[in-house]
Amino acid sequence: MVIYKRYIIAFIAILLVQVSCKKDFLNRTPGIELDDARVFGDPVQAARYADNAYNYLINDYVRFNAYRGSTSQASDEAVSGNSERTVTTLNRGLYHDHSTSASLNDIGDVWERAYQGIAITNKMLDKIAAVPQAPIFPARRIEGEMHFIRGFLYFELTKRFGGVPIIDKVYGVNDDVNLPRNSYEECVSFMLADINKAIELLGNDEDAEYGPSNYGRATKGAAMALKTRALLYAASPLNNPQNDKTKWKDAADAAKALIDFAQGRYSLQDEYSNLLNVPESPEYIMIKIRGNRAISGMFQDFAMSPASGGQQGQMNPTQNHVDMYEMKATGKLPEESGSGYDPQKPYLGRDPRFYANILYNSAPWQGKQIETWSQTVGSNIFYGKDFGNEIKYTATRYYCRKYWPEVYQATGGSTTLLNYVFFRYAEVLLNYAEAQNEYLDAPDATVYSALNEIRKRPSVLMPDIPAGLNKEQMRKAIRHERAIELAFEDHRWYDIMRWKIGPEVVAAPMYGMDVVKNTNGTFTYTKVLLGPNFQKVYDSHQDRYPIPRNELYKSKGVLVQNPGWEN
Amino acid sequence: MKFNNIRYIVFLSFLFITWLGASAQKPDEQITIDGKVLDKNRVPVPGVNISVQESRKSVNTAADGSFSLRCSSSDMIIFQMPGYATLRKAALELDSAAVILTPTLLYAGDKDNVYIPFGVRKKREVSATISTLDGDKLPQLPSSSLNTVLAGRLPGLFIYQNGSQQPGYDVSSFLIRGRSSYNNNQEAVVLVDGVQRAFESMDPNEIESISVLKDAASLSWYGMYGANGIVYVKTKRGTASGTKVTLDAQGGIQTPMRIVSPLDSYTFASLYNEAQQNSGISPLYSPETLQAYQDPSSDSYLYPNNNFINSFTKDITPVQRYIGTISGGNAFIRYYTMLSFLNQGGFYKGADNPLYDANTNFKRYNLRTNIDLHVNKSLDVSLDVGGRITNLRFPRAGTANILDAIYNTPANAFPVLNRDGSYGGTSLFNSNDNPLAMLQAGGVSTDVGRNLLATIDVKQKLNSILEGLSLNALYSYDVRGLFRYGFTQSYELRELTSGGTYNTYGTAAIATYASNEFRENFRNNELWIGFDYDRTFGDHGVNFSTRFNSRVATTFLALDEKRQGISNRLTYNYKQRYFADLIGSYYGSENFMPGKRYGFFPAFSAGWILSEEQFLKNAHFLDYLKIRGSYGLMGNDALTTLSRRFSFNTTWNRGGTGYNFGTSFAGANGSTERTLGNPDLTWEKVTKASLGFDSRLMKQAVTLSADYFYENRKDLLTASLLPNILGQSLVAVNEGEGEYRGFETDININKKIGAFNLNLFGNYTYTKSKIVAINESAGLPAYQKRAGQAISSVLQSGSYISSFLKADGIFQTQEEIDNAPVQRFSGTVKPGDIRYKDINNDNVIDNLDFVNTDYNFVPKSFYGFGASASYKSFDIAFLFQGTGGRTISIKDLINSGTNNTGYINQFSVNRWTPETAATAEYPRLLTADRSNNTQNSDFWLRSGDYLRLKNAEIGYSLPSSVISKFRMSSCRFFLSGLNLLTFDSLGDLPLDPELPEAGYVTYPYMRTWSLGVNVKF
Repeated sequence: MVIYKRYIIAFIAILLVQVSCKKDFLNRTPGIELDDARVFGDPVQAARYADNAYNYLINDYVRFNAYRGSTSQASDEAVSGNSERTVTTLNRGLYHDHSTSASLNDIGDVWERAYQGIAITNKMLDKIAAVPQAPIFPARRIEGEMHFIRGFLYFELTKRFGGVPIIDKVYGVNDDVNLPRNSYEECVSFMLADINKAIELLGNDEDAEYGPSNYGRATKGAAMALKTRALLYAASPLNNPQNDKTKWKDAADAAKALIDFAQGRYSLQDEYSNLLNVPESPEYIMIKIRGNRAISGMFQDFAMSPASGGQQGQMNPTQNHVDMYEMKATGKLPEESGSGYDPQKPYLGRDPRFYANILYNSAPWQGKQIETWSQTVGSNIFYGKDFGNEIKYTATRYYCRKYWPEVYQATGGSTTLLNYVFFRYAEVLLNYAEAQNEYLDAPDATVYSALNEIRKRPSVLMPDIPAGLNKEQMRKAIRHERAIELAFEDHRWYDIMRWKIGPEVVAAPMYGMDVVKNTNGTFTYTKVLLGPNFQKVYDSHQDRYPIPRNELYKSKGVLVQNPGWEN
Repeated sequence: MKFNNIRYIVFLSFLFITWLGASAQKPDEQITIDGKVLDKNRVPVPGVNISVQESRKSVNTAADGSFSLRCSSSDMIIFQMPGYATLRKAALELDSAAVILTPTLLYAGDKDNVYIPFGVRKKREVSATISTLDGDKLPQLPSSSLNTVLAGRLPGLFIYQNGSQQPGYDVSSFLIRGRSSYNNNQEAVVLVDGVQRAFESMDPNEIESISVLKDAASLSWYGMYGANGIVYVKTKRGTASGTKVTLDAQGGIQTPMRIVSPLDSYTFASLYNEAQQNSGISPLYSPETLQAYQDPSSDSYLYPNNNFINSFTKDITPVQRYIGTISGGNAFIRYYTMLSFLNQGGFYKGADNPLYDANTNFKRYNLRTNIDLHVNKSLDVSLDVGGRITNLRFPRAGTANILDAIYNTPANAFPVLNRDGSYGGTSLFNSNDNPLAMLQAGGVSTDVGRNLLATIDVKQKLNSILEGLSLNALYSYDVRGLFRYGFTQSYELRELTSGGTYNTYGTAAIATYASNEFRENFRNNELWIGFDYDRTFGDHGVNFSTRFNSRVATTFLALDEKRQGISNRLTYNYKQRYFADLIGSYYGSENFMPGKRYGFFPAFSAGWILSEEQFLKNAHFLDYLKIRGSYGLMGNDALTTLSRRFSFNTTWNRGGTGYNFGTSFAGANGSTERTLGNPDLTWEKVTKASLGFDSRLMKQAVTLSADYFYENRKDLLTASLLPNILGQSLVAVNEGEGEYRGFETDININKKIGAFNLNLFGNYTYTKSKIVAINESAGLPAYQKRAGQAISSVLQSGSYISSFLKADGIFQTQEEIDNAPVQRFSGTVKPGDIRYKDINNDNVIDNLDFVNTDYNFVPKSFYGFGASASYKSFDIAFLFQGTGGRTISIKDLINSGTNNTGYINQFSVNRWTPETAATAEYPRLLTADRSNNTQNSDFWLRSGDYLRLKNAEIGYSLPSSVISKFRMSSCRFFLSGLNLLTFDSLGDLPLDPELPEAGYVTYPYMRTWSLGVNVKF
């Protein structure tokens, strides 16, 4: 029994030891996790953190609901063949629904994404001095990049919402961040300060911190391009209702500065049709660097015709857009007299950019032809391989070639590049022409030469703009050139908003083409009004997006909604 | 000191003590015992029957209470006397001291044990709310899940099926009384023999009793993880009686209760054309094709008309179960050992090929041995070992994919086999799906699970230090492993083109062994160690228990989970009539910031047996009445809503999405900051109050209990309302609050008339829950707010939805549409579309017309009732179970999927057309622009109330004259059934109200019939 008691005492001792070491027992602070100090104390991690800010730029064309909708389909350029909800919400003016529907929408998600990026730049700018010196962490370039990205994100926000709250420092969880909107002008001066700082700090591809392995980073040229765009938007009718000419002057000067800076650096690429598909180009000022894209996703579910292995060919250019391509011989629009347009041979002799942007019936493609015809024989209806009575086929008889490199087909599963171009040189020329024309009372020679430079691209070679245009005629020509040159490149929709032309061009009837194959093998073309699913509404209040409703709700009245979107 | 070392020391100590005790035992010898039996007032008790266990020897006490008995030193002596508690004592412990018998009070008899955490009480002593079901009352059913047989049996316990009913799964959830949190951490904890363990795959024969701990007095013991209620299972143990052997054999059949009825080719094609035309697209199927579908003589390769359900599913699947148990013991060792086998077949047809059979099949072996060693007068050791082996076989294509192909492939999709004998397929539908190919040539998987559950439990009396004190220690070691093996195989599908050639999908490959997949490895250790003090001083009974507890649960690829705490309970009774309990526990969780980890959780309860007071002594109808109440605080640290563990820290991710620079397209990883940690995270604080009574009336024939309960839960995790302009979000904040209240009642009537025994029982629970606080945007319209509404909501395709449009029937005419507010969900609205109410009166129907509702998949009330009766050799029993105030959504069943495989289905027959406008149940068919008719709206909500004959059993026992020839003590044949009859309000909708997806999306819910025999020796 004595031995026994010893064991009992030993037992109690164990119990007490167990209880007394409980502090360690639950202390699970995982040693593998990184914290603030370790990230900014390590130049490698800090540089990676800075690079992560690039991920928050708006950097793909087809971004709504992952890869099922684009701003082209919101504008007059195209329709969504299967009435993708993220597109129809914009088409029908239901912007509040758009802001909460599927991922990567243009309202709620851009708001959130931009501010997430801004928070990263603010934190990096705050910590930059604390990061140890190291070649992998070029502090000057990174500081410039942070200013560039922050400026760019504020531009993306103002382009959509007008004035937004300016966040320029690191806020803690317990700080009051329920901030009101700054005015549009305050936002512009804030972003210009950032952009000017970026122009000052950033280098160029030939500099030490750049070189081939850093291709894709923001450069001095990119910051200058951003400046031209930002100033152009600021001078545009939506944001410059008084038509303050000095704003146009600023925009023209910024573009001119870049045109001068571009000498020997940036120029138009000879070939227009592969502008999005090359790894590097003299025309690129900045692109999103991305590897070859797999066929699944955007190509298969969005751009490709089912006959080529696509699942949903829903990127369908409208007849409205097709009608905008001039005749190559005359430089006139099809609707103009003497243009040489034959309604039964509608795709003959058009601006070469038409063939680069649009896939139409009988277009040669992948060793065959695009067939979007139908044919009625007795009670049977037959269809060409690229069209049918299911919603997976085109709604307008067109597919978009710009989003569908020819190598993507049913078999083979090829991959190639489809870049997102942040800035290319042609836009700078267009920006210059537009700003200069608006600044002057009548266009001068520099306006003509900027436009004609674009039209003289070796693979395009369109006739020059007719001489002697007055300011209004020139404005029309510039806007038209922009619509064609930058078609499907995420510009048109925002141009419509800043030019305030939505009620005329977006709310206009949307047309498609009816292609009937005759028994003798010829085709009959008839321009037809698209179904009610594809018609769009556009009221002038749509020139600005609504602030996401949820953010308004959270703000307890501090954020003020844009006019027309109050409920 | 590290935990690992302690574990071994504790374990070795146990072994050593055990060995010591065993070696101290004396060999058997014949002895004579002379003694005296007295009652607690030391008055001699004459006529007490004294017997020796496992022998026929017995004597009675004389008038002065004395007796003399010759027996062996290892014998167990049993003292029995009506009105007194039966006493068992080892012969060696019967020294010259008198044997004291205590008179039994009502609810203090041998069979009135209630298992509370780490203790046993007589029923009368319990002031907590605990409902107990004896294991032998469980119906004998060959079911792979015990949950199915528990439904409706206990008040306050709602068991609902919420997932696959495939053999070996039978997924279901427990809800104890109600829900007071809108977060996803409401699961009750299941404890088997005091340790957190899976319960549903136990065999009913392992179970001694199942108790549901519902109130503060029983749950505060578990501090930070008891708040959701506890199901407390005790396994069977041996008794010191003769060796008992039982054998059970059951064979049965299972039949799907409700299952899809597919459309034939003609109906499908014509509905498809109609949908196309409604969408402004010309028809897909030509009149000739439609004609051919109708004509039985047309070429079945070109115009197939399949019935995939009939071709690939069985109406009847077999199930078997066999159990053998042996139990017994003597004064020093008692044992219970069981081995059972369950074999449940799957319902696929045509799933075998020469190499393997891919039909689903579930085999389970359960084994258990519970040993109690009475080492010596003061030391008891229990060693329990349980094991489980499960083999679940299923087609490698996966149950969900196969079911989707069988349920949703249209009848005209393709011929199952082409003219050339190859498998048919088509690009129009899922081009990899051909049910025959998937079953026959798609490979097979088998999930092999191995469980070992071991517990050692030691009780050392310390009377030499303090009378009534004992040291108790329990240590458990559970491991579970799961791996998958089988055959892989792939196939090629071929589709005949109009040109006479074949398009092919997939590539055929012969069967090969699949590489083994390691799926799961889990280990759980619990240690409970502490003291008990149990003593009576005259009229005062005192019991004190304390336990230190720690748990480590380890799974691979993750940091193990730990928790620890100390639980204490003080029980006091006066005259076995007034009872009070004080419970307090101190628990910590690793989920919180150091310094904010520990909490104290106190509770108080009291009971008073009124019926034994003078003023009620004469109320003859009332045999027993106890009122009891409890109040206390518990916690819940299961912060499952958080995206990551240790969310009190802000941490960084070094593997975030990188951004590529340079044309090599190989980007470095990015460093990203995760969602901001919340250093103030804390556990949910749960206050429970319960007030009720237990009574026995009408000469003890009627037992009636009722309880009112209330629960409030504060510090629920809810989203932080930081604006997005911060650019970062906070994991969550403890700012929510919820509550529920309700009552439960339980009645039991026993009547014996001659040879006829009747037992009627019923229980009913009503609860109502409310969200008190949840972080919602301040500007949200009042009718869209969740605060004030019921907790939980309607279950729809795996998520909970509470926000609905209010439907107002179907538009019948264009005029109606023109006069109604504009509905903006689709491009066009036409007659046959759902009409919605304009909630905010802005003459537009949009997102602002959604209303937050109280519709709920959790029933407001649930109940069960039934009866059992026996007459001579016959017995019968049944149980009904039902719910009230429950809502289900049929939106996904009717509307989901694509135009090719999905929403043109059996329900489409009842769609709106101009001709059927008056009787149509669903909106018109469309293949495009369907958004108006697929919004979440109350159009798709149906009552999920049902009353179900859950099980019934009829038995016949052979008369003793027959069985004694075979040395049996009983032999009973029985027929039992599960899910036999259902009453619901779904009309002719072919859906199961309890589990609407079953037989439509998931494996069908099964009805089971089984025939069995139970033999006892």
